[in-house]
Amino acid sequence: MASAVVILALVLGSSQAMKTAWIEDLLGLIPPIAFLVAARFNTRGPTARFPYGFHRIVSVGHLCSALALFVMGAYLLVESVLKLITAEYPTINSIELFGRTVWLGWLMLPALAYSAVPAFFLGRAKIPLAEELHNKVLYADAKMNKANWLTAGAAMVGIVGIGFGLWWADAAAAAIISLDITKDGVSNLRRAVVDLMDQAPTTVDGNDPDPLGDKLASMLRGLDWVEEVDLRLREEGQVYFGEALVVPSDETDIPDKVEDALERARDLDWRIHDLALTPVRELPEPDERGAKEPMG
Amino acid sequence: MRKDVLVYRKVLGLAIVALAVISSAGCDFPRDPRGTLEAVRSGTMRVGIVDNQPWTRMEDGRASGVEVKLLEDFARELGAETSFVPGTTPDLLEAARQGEIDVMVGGYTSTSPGVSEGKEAGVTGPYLSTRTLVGVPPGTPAFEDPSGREIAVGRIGTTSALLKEEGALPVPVDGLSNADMPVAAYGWQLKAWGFEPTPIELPSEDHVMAVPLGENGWLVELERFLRENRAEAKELLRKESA
Repeated sequence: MASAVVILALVLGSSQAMKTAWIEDLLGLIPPIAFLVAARFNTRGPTARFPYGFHRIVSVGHLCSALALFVMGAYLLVESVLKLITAEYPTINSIELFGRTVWLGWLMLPALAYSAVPAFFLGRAKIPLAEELHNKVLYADAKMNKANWLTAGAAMVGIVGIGFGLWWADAAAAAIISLDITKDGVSNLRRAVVDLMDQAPTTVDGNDPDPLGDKLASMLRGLDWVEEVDLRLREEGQVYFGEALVVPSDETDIPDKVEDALERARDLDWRIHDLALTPVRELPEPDERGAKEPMG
Repeated sequence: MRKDVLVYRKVLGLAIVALAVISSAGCDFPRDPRGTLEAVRSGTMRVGIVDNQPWTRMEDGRASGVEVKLLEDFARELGAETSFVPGTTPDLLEAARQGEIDVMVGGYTSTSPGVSEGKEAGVTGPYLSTRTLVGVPPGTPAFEDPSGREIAVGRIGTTSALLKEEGALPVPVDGLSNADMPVAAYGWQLKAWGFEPTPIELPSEDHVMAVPLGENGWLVELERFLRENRAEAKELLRKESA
C-alpha cells in the first residue's frame, strides 16, 4: 500500500482523479493503522484506570476509519464537481522512454492498476473475517479498500477518456465513484457514533440487530429458577457488555444459581464478555427499550 | 470470492483489449478536446510571443530568437504557416485559455511564475537546460565566493534573481561583452568574449513552452519535436547569444 503511494506520487500528473487517488491512498492508510492499534490494545486486561478494559478502542478505531472514509468521499466529490463546473481541462505531459515519446497517461494506467489490484483482493478477503471477528474497524477498512480500487478504476476510465479528447471524463468518473464512497462513509460514521452511544448490538454491516441478544434473553428465561428477565446489552468494540435483571421464582441458593447462569451465558457466545446479573423482586416499568430497531 | 475473481478477470481483459485498440491507433492518441493539432496541421500555428532575448524577439513586426526558429521548424514539419501574436504573459495566458493562440513562448523556465505552475496553461517538459557561469575580465583575480560582489548582467531578470540568491549584487550593464567587471553569462559567451570563468555556477534553468490547457495531443507532439531537436536548440542558442 505504501509502495503504491510512492509509485503514484512518481507518475502524478495534473489528472484530477490521479491526484485524488494519491490523497486517497494516504487517507486509506488510516483504517489499517486504526485496526492495528485497536488490535494491539483491545485484549489488554482491565486496569485500575480502565476498569472495563480496552475493548472500546475498537469502536474508537471504527469512528476514525469511518471519518477517513467519509472525508475521502466528500473530498473527491467536491473536487471533481468543482472541476466540472470550472471546466478545467486536465493536461498530461509526455516523457521520453527508450528514445520514444510516450504520453504519461498510458503509464498512469498500469500504475493505477497496480494500486487497485491488492486493494480489490484485500477488501474482499477482509469482509468475512470482519464478520467472524465482529470487528467493525476491519469492516470499514474493507470498505476503504473498495473505495480505493473503485477510484483507481475511475481514474483509469478518466485517463482513457482524456486520451479520447474528453476533458470531462476524468472528473465525471471521479464524481460518480465518490457518491458510492461518501455513502459508505456516512453509513459507517453513523454506525460508529450510535455504537459509542451504546446502541443495542448490531451485526457488523449494521443493518440488523444482532440475534444474540434475544438468544441470551431466552436462555436466561428458560432457566428453571427464573421467572422474568430484563436484559440490555451494548457493544464495546468486538465484545458485548450488559446487565440482566432477573426475578427468581425460587430464592434458595441464589449466588450459586447466578454463577451458573453467567457461565452458561459466556458459553453461549464468545462475544458475551461482561454480563452483570442482578436478582430483583420485580422488574422496572417497561420503557422505550421495547423498540430494538437499530439506527445505523 | 470466486465470482469476484471472474468479474475482475473480465475487467482486466477489457482493459487489455482497450489498450491494444488504443495503441494500434497510434499517433492519434491522445486527442485534443479542441482539436489544436488538427487545426495547425492544415493551417496556421498561432504563436503567442513575449519579448525575452535571446529566446524571443519582436522587431518591426518580425519575430526571431531561439524559440521562434524552433517553432518555425516545427510548423514546417507540420506543413503549417506561423503567425505571431506579441503580448504580455498575462494577456497571452488569457488568449491561450480562450484558444486564441496555440503555443506561447518567451524564454519561460520551469520556475517562471504564472506559467510553470500549469494552472493557466499546459507546460511542456524542459527541452533545454542552460547554466549561467560567472566570469572575470582577463588579468583580474578569480574568486570563489560571489557574496557581496558586484556582477554584471545583461538586464534584470531570472539571472539577476539567481545571483541575488547567491548573495551577489547584480548590476545591469549595456555592453555585457565589454564589461570591466565580473559578468554572468553562458560558458561559450565567456569564452568568446575572453573572460576567465570562475568556479561559480548558477543553478541550471530548464526551458519550457506553454500550450492551452488540456490539448494533450498537441502538447505531446510539441514535446516530441522539441526532444528530437535538442541539439538544434542548443546550436540556435549559441548563434543567437553570440
